[in-house]
Amino acid sequence: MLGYIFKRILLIIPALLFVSMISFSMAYLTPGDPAEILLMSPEGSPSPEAIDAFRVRMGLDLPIHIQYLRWLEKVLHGDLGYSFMSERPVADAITNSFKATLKLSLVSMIVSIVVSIPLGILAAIKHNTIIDDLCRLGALIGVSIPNFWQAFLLILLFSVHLDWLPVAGYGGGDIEHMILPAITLGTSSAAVTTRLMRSSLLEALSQDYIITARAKGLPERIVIGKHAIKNALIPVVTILGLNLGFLLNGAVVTEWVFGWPGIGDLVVDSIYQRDVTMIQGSILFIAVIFVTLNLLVDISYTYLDPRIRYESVD
Amino acid sequence: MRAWIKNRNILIGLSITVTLIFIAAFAPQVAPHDPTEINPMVRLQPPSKEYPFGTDHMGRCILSRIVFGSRISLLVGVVVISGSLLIGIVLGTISGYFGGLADDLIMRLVDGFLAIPSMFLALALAGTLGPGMFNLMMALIAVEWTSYARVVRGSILTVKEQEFVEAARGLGASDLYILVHHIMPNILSPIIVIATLGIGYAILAAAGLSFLGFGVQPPTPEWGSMLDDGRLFMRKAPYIMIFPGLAIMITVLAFNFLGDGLRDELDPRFRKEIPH
Amino acid sequence: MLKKRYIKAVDCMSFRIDRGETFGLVGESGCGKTTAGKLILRLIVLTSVRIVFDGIDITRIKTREMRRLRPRMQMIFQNPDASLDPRMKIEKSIVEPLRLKGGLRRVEIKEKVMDLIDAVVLNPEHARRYPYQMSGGQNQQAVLARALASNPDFIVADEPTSGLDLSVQAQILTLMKELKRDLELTTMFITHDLEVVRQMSDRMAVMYKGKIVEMGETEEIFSHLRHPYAKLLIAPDLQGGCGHHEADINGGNNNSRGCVFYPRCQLAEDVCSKREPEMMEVKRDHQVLCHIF
Repeated sequence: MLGYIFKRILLIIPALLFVSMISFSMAYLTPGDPAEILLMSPEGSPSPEAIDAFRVRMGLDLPIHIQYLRWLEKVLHGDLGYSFMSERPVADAITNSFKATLKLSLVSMIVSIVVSIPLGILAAIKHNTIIDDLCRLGALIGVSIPNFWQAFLLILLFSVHLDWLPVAGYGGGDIEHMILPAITLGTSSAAVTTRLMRSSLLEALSQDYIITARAKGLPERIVIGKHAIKNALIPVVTILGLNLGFLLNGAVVTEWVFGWPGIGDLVVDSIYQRDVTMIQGSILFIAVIFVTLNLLVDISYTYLDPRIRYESVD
Repeated sequence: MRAWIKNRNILIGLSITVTLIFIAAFAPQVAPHDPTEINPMVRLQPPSKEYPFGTDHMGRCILSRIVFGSRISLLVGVVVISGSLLIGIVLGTISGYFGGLADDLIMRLVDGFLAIPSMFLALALAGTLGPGMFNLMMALIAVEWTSYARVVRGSILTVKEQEFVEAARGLGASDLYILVHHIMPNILSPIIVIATLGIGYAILAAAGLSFLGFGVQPPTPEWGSMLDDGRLFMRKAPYIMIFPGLAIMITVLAFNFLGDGLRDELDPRFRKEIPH
Repeated sequence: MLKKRYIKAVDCMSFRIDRGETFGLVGESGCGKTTAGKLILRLIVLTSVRIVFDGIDITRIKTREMRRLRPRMQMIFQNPDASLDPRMKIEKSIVEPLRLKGGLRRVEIKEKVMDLIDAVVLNPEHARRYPYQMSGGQNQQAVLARALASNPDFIVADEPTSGLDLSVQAQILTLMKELKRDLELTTMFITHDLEVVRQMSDRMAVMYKGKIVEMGETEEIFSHLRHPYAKLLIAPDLQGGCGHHEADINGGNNNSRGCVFYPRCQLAEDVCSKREPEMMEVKRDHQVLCHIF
């Protein structure tokens, strides 16, 4: 088991290396010279001397692979550089915004679980009835609806017309400001999870041991409750792990629409402003988090699912 | 195989999709006005007989813009999926069929791309490549190909162990012949399913990126950027953003219905015909 | 961590098959006979193997040359349903060798297919169907037709009747006998079924754990069994009921010293555990791999 974990960790390293290269090269895919763009002011284009001075200061005059290695070395020491825009440390900005995203994600996950598991169970139990069809339709719609549109509809209803909730912003991270974005994110991921809960429960219900339990005369409640659901939850637990990726992706637009200062919002802003170091740092950061989370999910999945556990003890 | 028509999902998905294609193809005939015609006199009008979906902040007919926007969305969806499929099939085949070092390298590459959540990667690529539909499509292809490569590789790994492949080799068939005539037809089913669902996802992602300002530039009517326009006028003229969003949802829904239906039809047969 | 354990599927086998004869290879499942069959046709490649086909050493030639030779040597695999492409209609599968060879016009191909379908006694209607719509026996007929399509000189048939109903088995075997006679085929029959071997083959070999333990003319072997294992396999009732018939791959002697059958041999002597036996010619065209006989 430990060997498996070790192997997985080893496999990650080339991927992370590749990610670091992609992150780094973001700066060089940009058309235009970052120095020139940044120094642009109302008076006109910056002077060549100013550009050169800036480039030397930011280390942009060295050959690419040297820049990459210098950057990599700093990164491994935890130094992600300074923002081109604000000249504040990138690492601070990232950690702060990630905290905000984390808060939002947690609440969104709760929303997702609260919605999807009961609905999935309901749909499975009422298999092939109107209720099942409605649930499946709802899930399909949830997957098809653009999250920024959904965000707007919610804002329109709750903030503009009903004036119950604020339109956007962080507000110190209080519930009021978190509800709408959490619902938006939560329902998207719930759409996927509901379908999975339903299908995994259906599969569990058709297993032989369920038929046996029924034949033994156990009340339906126990049959479903104790046996089926417990086993159906295994794939769902792993989907919840995958949900993290889903939530991160959705966070980009959702945070931006709601003005929630999370890491998605940070990335969008830094791209608008061509804040090269911020782009590099935040992409790298989010990738590392994502990869780590996936690894944890993989490992816990191996732990939970006995079949895979036996396979890996080889 | 014509029993497919009986499948409800396919029926719904196909009818909406065909309607959309029709609308996109005959946009000039279907749209009541010129989508780019600016008319400050009639700006921010609510839906009326003249302008069934109302007008936006520049006095343009929203319905017409949505009709023409369907061309963009469908085009982006198809191009992105085609590009991703191409790369995915080529790399997936090399990886799955030939294996060895190539397989390892390609899989590491896939892992590298998958390490960054797709929206972030697409955003970063679109943002750094610059605005424009072409760059948008490139960014999305770079994000999407990995899924196809993996599915193709997995399917090929399963199929190439089957006895009929060995039999074909025994008949004197070359690797290329086997790939084209035996392996490809047998892996078509899962590819069709994910490609269909992928079009929906590509349209959604493209709309999202355009909404943020990357990708299609004004005055080209694109549903996502129309939503961005509507942001400022949410109170006064919410219809500017309601209708484009609805269009996106219905389109993506259509492809999801279609994809789901195809999966139902193709999967069990797939499992029956190829013994695992 | 873990060592990989290799089990030799085929170990030191040597035999010849003459033109026009049917050679039977018998043994329990897992003894390596399928591997032997595939090796002969170079479907599996090993460097320590040498195979001569009609004077050509096919283990030394290039892939492209091998591909040109393939139409002359065909294999019928064990599972007929699996060896046909599920997405191709039966007649397309049958036609395939012809398409690969090339050079025939549409009309000629159609004719040839009709001939083949006739030859294997398959209903032309059925040829337009897919494998999953047909029975195992019908699929095996199709596989036979496909194998014959390229006018091969040599056919390796690997358990062509296993998994089929008894009546169908008989049909297939009769069919193969007729075809062999009419087309003057050379065949290698791989099976675990002793009746089949006796019926179909002129000469035969008995395999045990990758080695041939007895080889010679079929009738001769059946009437004068020599090797202890062969006796167990072919005439267990004569042994007084001590026959174990399961394949015992993981048990037994994996060491390289001594006879491979030593652990199970009733008649083993001291020398059997120390030295590997060599093939001894007991009678004209009857060889045994044993110290004692």
